[in-house]
Amino acid sequence: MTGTFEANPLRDEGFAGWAATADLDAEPRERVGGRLRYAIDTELPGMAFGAIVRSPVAAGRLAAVDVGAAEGVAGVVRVISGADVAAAGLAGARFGSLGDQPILATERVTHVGEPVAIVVAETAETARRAAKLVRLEVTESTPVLTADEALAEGAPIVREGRPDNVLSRWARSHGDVEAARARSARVFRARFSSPAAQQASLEPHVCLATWRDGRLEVWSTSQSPSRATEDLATLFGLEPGTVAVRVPPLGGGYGGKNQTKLEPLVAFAARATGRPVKVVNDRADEFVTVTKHAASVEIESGVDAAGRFTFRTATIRWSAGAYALSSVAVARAGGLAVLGPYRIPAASVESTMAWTNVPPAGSFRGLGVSQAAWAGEQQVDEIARAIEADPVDFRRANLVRSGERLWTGERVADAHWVECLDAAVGRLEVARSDGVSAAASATPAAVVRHGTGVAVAMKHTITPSRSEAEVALLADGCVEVRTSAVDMGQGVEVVLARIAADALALPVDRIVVARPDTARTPFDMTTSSSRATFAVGNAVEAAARDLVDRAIEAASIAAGIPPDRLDWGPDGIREARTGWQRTLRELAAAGPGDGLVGRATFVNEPERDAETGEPVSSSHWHQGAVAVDASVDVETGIVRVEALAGAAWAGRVVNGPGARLQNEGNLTFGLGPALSEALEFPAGSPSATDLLDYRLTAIRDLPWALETVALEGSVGDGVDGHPERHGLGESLIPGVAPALANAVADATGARVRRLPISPERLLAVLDE
Amino acid sequence: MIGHLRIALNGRAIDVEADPLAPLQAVVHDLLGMRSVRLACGVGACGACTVLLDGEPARSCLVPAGLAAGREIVTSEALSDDHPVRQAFVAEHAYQCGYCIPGFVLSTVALLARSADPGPAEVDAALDGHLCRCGSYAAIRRAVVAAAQGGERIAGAAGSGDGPAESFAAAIASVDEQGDEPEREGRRGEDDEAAGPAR
Repeated sequence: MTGTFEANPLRDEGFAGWAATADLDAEPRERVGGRLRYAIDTELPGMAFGAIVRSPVAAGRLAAVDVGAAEGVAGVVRVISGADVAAAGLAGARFGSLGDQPILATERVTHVGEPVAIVVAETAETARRAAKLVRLEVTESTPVLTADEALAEGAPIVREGRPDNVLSRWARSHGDVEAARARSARVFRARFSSPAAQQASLEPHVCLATWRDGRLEVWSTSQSPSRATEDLATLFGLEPGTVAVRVPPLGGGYGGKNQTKLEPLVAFAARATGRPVKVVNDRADEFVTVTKHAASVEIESGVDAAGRFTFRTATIRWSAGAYALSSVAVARAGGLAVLGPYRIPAASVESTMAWTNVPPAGSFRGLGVSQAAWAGEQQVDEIARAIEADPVDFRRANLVRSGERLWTGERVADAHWVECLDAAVGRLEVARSDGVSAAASATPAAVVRHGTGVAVAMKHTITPSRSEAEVALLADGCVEVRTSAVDMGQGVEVVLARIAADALALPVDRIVVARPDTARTPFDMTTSSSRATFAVGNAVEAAARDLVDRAIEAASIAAGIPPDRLDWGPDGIREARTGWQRTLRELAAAGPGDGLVGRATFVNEPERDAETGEPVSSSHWHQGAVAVDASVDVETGIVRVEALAGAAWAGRVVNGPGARLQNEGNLTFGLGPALSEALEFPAGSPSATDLLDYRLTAIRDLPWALETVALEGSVGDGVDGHPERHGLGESLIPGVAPALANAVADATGARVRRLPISPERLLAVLDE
Repeated sequence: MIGHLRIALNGRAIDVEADPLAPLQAVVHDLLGMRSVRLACGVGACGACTVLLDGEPARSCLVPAGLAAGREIVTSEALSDDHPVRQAFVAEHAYQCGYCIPGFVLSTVALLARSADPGPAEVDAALDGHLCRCGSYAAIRRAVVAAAQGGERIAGAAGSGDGPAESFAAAIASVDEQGDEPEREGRRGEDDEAAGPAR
C-alpha cells in the first residue's frame, strides 16, 4: 500500500469512469487539462486487481505452476493458472485471428512473456508482489528466434501442426519476369531488413471486466471492440447481446491495441473470483504483449536503357512471433506494397510469414508497408543513382497514373502519387526557406555532409470490410451518431460528427457521438487500416440519409402530406407550398417508440477489374510522399533531420486541423523506427523493457522546418460529384525511413540497409 | 512504511498517510486523485507524470513523496481552462490522444515563467523529456509560441517568475492560520462529473 486518503474522487462508489457519449465541445479542454477519462481511469465498486505471471523462457514444456506461496500472501483473492482454465472446461478454448491463443498457457510456453497465471488481489501492488512468488517448472527447449531460423531445414517446430513454421504465404505474379529480365539494360539486387519495434502507446493495455446476472461487461483499450465481443461470446459460450465491450478514449493505439489480448483472461478471472477484475499492463508487459514484425526483403529490379522498369521481384520473410494477431494481413500488405506504385510490366512477390518463439507481432502503424518500403524505395534510389537519373525524375517517369496498371495487373482508378511527390518536394523547399534551426551545430562543417532524399508510399485499406452506423434523433432535437469506431486521438469523433452534420444540414453542435459500447453501438470491423474516415464515415453518411427518409415518412403519415412534398432542414420537416412544419424536437416526440433512427451498413466490396475480372486488392490506396534534408556527422555517425515534408492524398478533407495533425504525426512517428527504435530478442527476451532503453522520437529529433499538405480532389470528381474521403493515419509513415536513408546516401554515398539508421550502424557502413 | 505527510498541493495543505518512499506520482494520483499526473513509463523518460515542484518541472514517478513534503506541488488541476497556455494548446490543436499533454502544459508554464519569448532551442530544451507518441510536437511548438505571444496574459495568470510559488505559499499559509486544519479534499478546479450517459 502506498497509503490512504479518505476523499479520493477516483474511488467514489459506483463510478466506472465511463461517459457513454463524447462531449465534442468540452473534449479539447478535457484532453489538454488532463481530465479526459481513459480505460485506465475506470473503476468499479468491489474491484480486484490482476497481475499476470509470464513465461521467463522462449520455448519449453510447462511441467508445473506452483501457486501455493502466492496464494498465501495476505490480500490475495485467488491465483489462477491453466489448471483452473482446464477445470472450467476451457482448456481447448482459443481466440485470435487464427483461433490460436489460449486463455492461459498449459503444457507448453512459446514465447518470453506468455501468460501462464494471473494473481488477483485486493490491490495492484499486492497482486504484483504475489505474482513474483508463483513458481514455474519449465523444461526449456531450443527456441526459433528469427524468420530465417524458422524457415531453415530441420528447425524446431513453434506451433504444433505446422511443421514448416509457415503461418501464411502470400504470393502474386504478373507478366513474364524471365523475358523481362532478358531484355533489361541493368539488373539490381539488394537485401534490406528491419528489426521488431514496439507500439509504445503511453497508455498501456488495460482491461476491466465484471459479470452481472450472466452478462459480461468489459471496459478495454481495444481498437476492435466488435471483434473482442465476438471473441468473448465464442469463448464463454454467451448469447450475442450478453457481452458489452466499452472503449473509453485510448491513450494511443498505433495498431498495438487492434487485436483481442487481455479481455479473455480478465473476463475469466472475474468469473472465477466473482469480482470485477482490472488489469493494467506495466511498461515491461507491453514489450512482450505486442510488437512490430521483424522482416527481411530480397529485392531485384530491371530497367531498360530509357530508365523504365522492366521487372521487379521481391521475397519477404517476416517473424510473426508465437501468435498470429494480424500476421496474415501484414504478409499481404507488405507483399502488395514492396514493389511500389510504379509501372512494372512483369513482377512477382512472395511474402512468407513464419512462426517464431518471440512475443507476438501485430499491427504497427504502417502495417507491414514500412518494412516493405524500406527496401523498395531505397532500391529505387540506388537504381536512379546508378543510371545517373535524378531520384525524383526517375520516380516521376515510372509512377502509375490513374487508369494504369499496378504491378499486380489491376487497374488503379485513382492514382495521385505524382502529385504527392511533387507536392512533397515543393513543401520541402518551403520548409527550408521558412524553417528555423533549433540549435546551431557546434560540429566543424568539414565533417558534416548534407543530403536530400525522397520516398513514396502505397498502402491498401482492408477490402472488404464492414461498418455499421446508427444516426438517432434525440428528444431534445439533437442527433446521436452511434458507431463502434474507437477514438485514439486521431479525432474520429469529430470527423463522424461533421459528416453527419453535413448530411443532415445541421450545425455540428447539434451532433453527439456515442463511444463504442457493443451493447448499444453497432458492428464495426476495426478502427485500423486508416479506414474509419472512409468506411465508418460512409456508413454514418448513409445512416443520416436514412434518418432523413424515416423522418419524412413519419411526418408524411402524421400530416397526411405526400413525402415528396416534404423537405428536411435544420429547423425540421417542412412543406414549402403550405409552410406546414414540424421541428426536430416535435418529430422526436411523435416518432416511433424507439425514436427515429437511421441505420446503414457500409461494405467496401472490391470492384472487379473490367478486363481480368479479378477483384482489386484494395478499394483505394493510401498514397503519400516524403522529402527530407539530412545532415550527417561522418565522425560520430549522428544524423540530423534538417527539414522534413510530406504530402498525402486525402481526397476530401473533413477536418483540416485533424488532417494536419495526422500528417505531422505520420512524419514524427515515422522518425522513431528510422532513427532509434529497435527491439531484438537475443535468447528470446526483448532487448528493451522500458522507455529509456527503447527510445521514441523526442521533440529535438523533429526539425522546425516541417511542412505537410493533405491533397484534395475537385468537386465533380468521384462517384457522386465529391472526391472520396480518405483516412490519413498511415499515408506518410512508410516513406519516412527510406527517404531518410536516401538522404544519408545522398550525403555520404553510404547506404544503411538495416533499420534503424543509428550512429553505430552508419559508422560501420561508412567504414566499408 | 506508512507515515504522515503534509503535502502542499495546488495551494492547499493536505495531510495524507503514505509511504514517504513511494513515488510522488502514486501519492498525488492514486491517493489524492490528481488524474492528470499519469504513470506511463515509470522511469522518468516520458514526462506524462510531470508536476511543478517549487515552480520547476519534475518527474513525479522518480521523486519520493517524502522529499516533496514542504515544497509547493502544482499539478495540471491547478490551472484553469482560461489559462493562456491551456488556451493556446486548445487553439493550436496541440493534442491528439492527450495522455501526455498536461505534462507539456506544465513544462511550458515553467518555461514561460522564466523566459517570456523563448527561441526554438529553448522550447525544445524545455520540452525534451516529454514524449508524445501520437507525434504532436509540431503543433505543441506552435502552441508554445502562441502562448508566448500572449505573454502578458501568462504573466498575469501564472506568475512572472516568482508568482506561482508566492501565491501558493500564501494560500497554504492562510490555511494554516485558520487553525491548522488542512483541507481533506483531493481535487480543485475540476469540473468533471460522474459517469453516465450525457444524454
